[in-house]
Amino acid sequence: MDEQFDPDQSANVSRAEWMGVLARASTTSLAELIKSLGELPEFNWLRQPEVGAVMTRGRAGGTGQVFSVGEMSVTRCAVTLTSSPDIVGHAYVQGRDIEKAKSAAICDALLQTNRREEVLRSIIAPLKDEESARHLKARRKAGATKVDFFTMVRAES
Amino acid sequence: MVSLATGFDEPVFGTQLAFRSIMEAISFPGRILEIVRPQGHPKGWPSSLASGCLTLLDSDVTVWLDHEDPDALNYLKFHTGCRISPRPEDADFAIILDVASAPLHQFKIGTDQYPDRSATLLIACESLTAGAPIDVSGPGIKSTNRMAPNIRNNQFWGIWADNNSLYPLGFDVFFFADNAVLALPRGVSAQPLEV
Repeated sequence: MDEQFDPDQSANVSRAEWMGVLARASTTSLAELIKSLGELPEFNWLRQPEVGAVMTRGRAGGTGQVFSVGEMSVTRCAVTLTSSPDIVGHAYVQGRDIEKAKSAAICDALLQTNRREEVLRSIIAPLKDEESARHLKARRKAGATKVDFFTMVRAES
Repeated sequence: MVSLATGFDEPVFGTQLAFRSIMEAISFPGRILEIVRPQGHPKGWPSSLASGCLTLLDSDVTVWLDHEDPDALNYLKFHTGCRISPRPEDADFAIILDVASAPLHQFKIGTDQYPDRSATLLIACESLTAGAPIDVSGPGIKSTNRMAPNIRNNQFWGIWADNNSLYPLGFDVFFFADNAVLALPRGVSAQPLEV
């Protein structure tokens, strides 16, 4: 996904998308960016952070047989905001960092409130840029070492 | 908007404590055991029923409820991950608030090869002591034990006699009221007191 994140289009960002961005974000970046929100809202745990493993599945070539790629560590938690207990913020993030899961859950909760635009602009957009840059770098590296095999046609009888 | 109640503060220790109570209750039919309260529970449920659900249910079991309360459904799905079925005959566990209208004849009783593939009924009561007294006897009881759960169903003990006669098949029952649990395993027979 190369297209740049456009804050003007941010209203169209789906929850699945921002959950994904938060899940894949680097721990240090999220910890840094969340400071820009200032004082975090008060919250209650609905589910305390738990570290576990999930089996990731894939398809060979994206279309082949399903196979299990391997297990990865995942931390999950859920919070409700004290100011609006009906809003539930969930987080399923990669890695074992409890602080990251907490921050991600609070972001998810805030993204369902009237602070949505602010969180999209100051957290989700930068994280998404960072992710694109990371992917681009990986593709460049892979591209630079690409080897094309070709076979000469043999002129036989 | 549907609200979601909190489960145990410390899920591991909470469910271990609750499990201990549930296990003692079914080991000693007729004995009333106090059971730890979760922080929150669906409206209209005794806290002990929520405690039992959080402890006994997980993503491997199918649950049938006699009431369609979105709060209760969300609570179960979020905290336990269990599957919900609209058919009582599919249920591994049944959560029953109104025992008078529960389809007690439709629950799984297991098979001869697998008597454990039977249903466990979790029944909410107003009280475990204020109902009609009944003497129970069977495994885990030296002579007889008296229990008096407040069951709002006159047919219940008749159905229970049928269930008991199926042993080793049949369903098991837990009664929950306020913060206490009382068990009625399938091997226990009940003799209502003459009035």
